[in-house]
Amino acid sequence: MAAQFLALPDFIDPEFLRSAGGATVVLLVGFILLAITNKIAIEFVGPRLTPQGVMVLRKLIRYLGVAFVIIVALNQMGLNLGAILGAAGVAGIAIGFAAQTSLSNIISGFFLIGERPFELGDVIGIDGISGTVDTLGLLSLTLRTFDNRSVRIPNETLVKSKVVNVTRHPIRRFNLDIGVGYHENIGHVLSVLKNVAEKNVQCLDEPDPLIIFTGFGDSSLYVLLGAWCLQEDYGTLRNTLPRELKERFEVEDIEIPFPHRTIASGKAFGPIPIKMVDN
Amino acid sequence: MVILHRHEEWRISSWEGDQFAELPLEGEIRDLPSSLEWRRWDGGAGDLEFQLRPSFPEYPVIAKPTPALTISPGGHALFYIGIPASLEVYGQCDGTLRKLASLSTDSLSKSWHGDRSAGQVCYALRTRARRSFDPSDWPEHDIVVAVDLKNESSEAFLFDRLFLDLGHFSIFNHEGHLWSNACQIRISEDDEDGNDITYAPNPLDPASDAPEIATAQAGKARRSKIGSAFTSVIDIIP
Repeated sequence: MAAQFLALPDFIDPEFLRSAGGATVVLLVGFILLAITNKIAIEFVGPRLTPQGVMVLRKLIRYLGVAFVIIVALNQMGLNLGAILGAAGVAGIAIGFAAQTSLSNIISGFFLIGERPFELGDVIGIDGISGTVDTLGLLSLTLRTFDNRSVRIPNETLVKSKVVNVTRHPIRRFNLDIGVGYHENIGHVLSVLKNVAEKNVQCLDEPDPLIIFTGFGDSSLYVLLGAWCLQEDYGTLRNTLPRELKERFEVEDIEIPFPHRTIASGKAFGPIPIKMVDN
Repeated sequence: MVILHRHEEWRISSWEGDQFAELPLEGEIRDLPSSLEWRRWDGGAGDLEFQLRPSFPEYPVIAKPTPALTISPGGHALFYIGIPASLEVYGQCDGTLRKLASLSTDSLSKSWHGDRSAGQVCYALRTRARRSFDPSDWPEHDIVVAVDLKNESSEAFLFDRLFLDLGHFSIFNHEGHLWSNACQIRISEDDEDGNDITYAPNPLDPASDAPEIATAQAGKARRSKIGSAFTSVIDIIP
């Protein structure tokens, strides 16, 4: 009675059970080995790679490893891998056509890793969107905008588009265009700009600030103040320098004119004739 | 600056300029203006000891003498450069002194030593680079750094900029003035590898016997090299 109870039902093939058990063991051991391999590879190669390189290496080992373990497990179950791979070759062409965008993104991702136009944490601008590089995956990059939105940009777009890396270099220049009245002494205005830049603690003394007279506008003379600062001071400088400049212009009685238009009658700059008319 | 110990905590308030010029040197809590902005640190009830220690600014300085001076070939020139000291405030916390804050005695503009891609942050310092020391002509919060420039090249040298790493300078107290140990910098024909700087163990006279009150942050050294001490490596790009 007991022997009958322990006997397998007829519809379960003991051979199948054995191969399924073997496949389960392969899967378990394979995934454990995969985790260990991933850890060792990151520990040894990781220090020589950038953070996004580590991220991609980890994903690469995981995806290829999982595929390898599954193939071995299927082989253990007695499936004819040659036939499967042959079918996969035919299917691969069809899938390749269907997934060419994804493949293009993956290949673009490798180009980006090789070229390293930006790193994780850099602030970049692309197609009018600016933000911090949050993640760089095999298919896409995630950008965290300054108002905390998450933007996914395909790697192919990154390769094809102009990407501005704002934080690549440790120092940066803040350009401020200023218009002053036509009656102002340009030499005096330029020396005031230099003095304001010198007194601002965020404005770097070296490189020298760029202070130039840039041209004649409709209503004002234009000057440019290009003040260098550390990346982390850029926001503060952008807030403080224009304010300090305006305050100093007020002290020095330097006019920042509103746009104005001179209405003249005919050739001369004489007054416009006014004629009184009786109704 | 105001330091207050109240409700088992240290409070420090600091400001720039003459905003609270009328504040008495000693007084009651009620004398303090309510507009003071405080920073607070937790401390025990019996933790009443505090110390003020002078230190050099946290970054190196780029000193620019105004006006510049030309040093003839083979000649040398001794300059006294005043570097505004920082004040480190230590407060007793659970029986041990802990650094609470570091306050600069003067606002220094930042500067950059290096090219546009790599370098280090510095403070910009306009200095008269005085040739002699006159105590009456020296603010008490400035550290006197005596720099002897020795021109070993065959050409006249225009001294208009000096990058000075302050890590190997100690601070000495002499009759109410702060001094650093003296140094000598050699200007040679080929300074691509940097300029040799030699540190003396003590300040120059009259402070040569002054006691040391703060040790060098990067440790004492006899010699080192400073890269691009006299020339900016930043090119002009409009």
